[in-house]
Amino acid sequence: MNYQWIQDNLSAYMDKELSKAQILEIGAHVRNCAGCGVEYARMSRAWDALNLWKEIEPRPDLRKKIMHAVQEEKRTQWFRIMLPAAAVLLVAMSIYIYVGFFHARSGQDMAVQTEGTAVLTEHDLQNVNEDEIITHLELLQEKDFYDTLDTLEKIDYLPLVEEVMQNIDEEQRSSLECSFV
Amino acid sequence: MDDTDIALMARIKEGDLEAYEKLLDRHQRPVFNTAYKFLNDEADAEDITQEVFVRVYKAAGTYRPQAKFTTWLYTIVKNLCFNAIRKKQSGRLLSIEDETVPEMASLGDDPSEMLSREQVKRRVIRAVNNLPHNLRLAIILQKFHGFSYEEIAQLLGCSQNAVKLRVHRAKQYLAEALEPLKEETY
Repeated sequence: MNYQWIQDNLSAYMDKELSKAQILEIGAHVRNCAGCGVEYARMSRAWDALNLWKEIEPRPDLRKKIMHAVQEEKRTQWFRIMLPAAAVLLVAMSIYIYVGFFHARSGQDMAVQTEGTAVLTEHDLQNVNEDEIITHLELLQEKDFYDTLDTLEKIDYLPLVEEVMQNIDEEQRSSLECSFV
Repeated sequence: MDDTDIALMARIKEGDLEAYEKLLDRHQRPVFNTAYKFLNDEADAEDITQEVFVRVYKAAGTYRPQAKFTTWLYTIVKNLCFNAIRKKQSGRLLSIEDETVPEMASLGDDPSEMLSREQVKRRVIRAVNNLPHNLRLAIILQKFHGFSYEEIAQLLGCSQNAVKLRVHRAKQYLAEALEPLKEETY
């Protein structure tokens, strides 16, 4: 702790912003060193002179003004939250209406385009005979059933290895029989 | 009920205006006086105080108690005061980082003359107003609001050592500026 360090820390000493040991050491130095003592007294006087600058009372309507501004802020805050929500809702509704309209339009266009072809329109479906549909469905089911059976049959009737050998034996035997005959 | 500043902020977040009024009553006067001493203008100080508390209300939703509430509050005060000063001095292109302590203004009077308390007060105010912004704010917060070096460092965004140096320089300047005044005056 040299002289310069003490000079630089006189202010911190005054504000008690040093460690206990440092405060004790500077205190002892200031009491014994004339130069540091004078400097310390000068700074302390100036610091105390600031006490003349008293606090003043804000005008009573300042609180009212602040509260009014905050109430206003609360209202606008609500508006700020609601505005984007309303905007999102509006956009969503517009999309919904547009998509609904487009869908209806394209349905009509499809019906016009497919007129005369095999594609059934809603109108055709309303006029179709139920029995006819059931018959068609049964046929379809049967077709599926047969297809499936065919496949199963093919799988079931795949010859086994032994069966093949047996067949060969039978063929040879019949050929021998033929030769004897 | 817990009435600490942080608890009040939590209640304000929930929309409790009563908590807000409590916080306002607690801090309005010191905030106003900080702005007043810093700007040396009552009307500007009122505007700043109003803006500070509106910002506090707006920020309540996102407020995180990471530091002391007052450190956070006075950071808003500092920013608004520096902006106000910058606007006032926009023509002069003065940087707020310019921390050159000004040359000592001549007192012009006979130093041995006993000055009235009012005259001394005026000199004190003039001396403080001559300080660069950061030093001025550091002195105001330390002297009138009991801020520690650590809190001032957080608020000004610098190290504690830098604050120690700034406060020391400011005190040296004030000591020189008020040197000729008689001790008995204050």
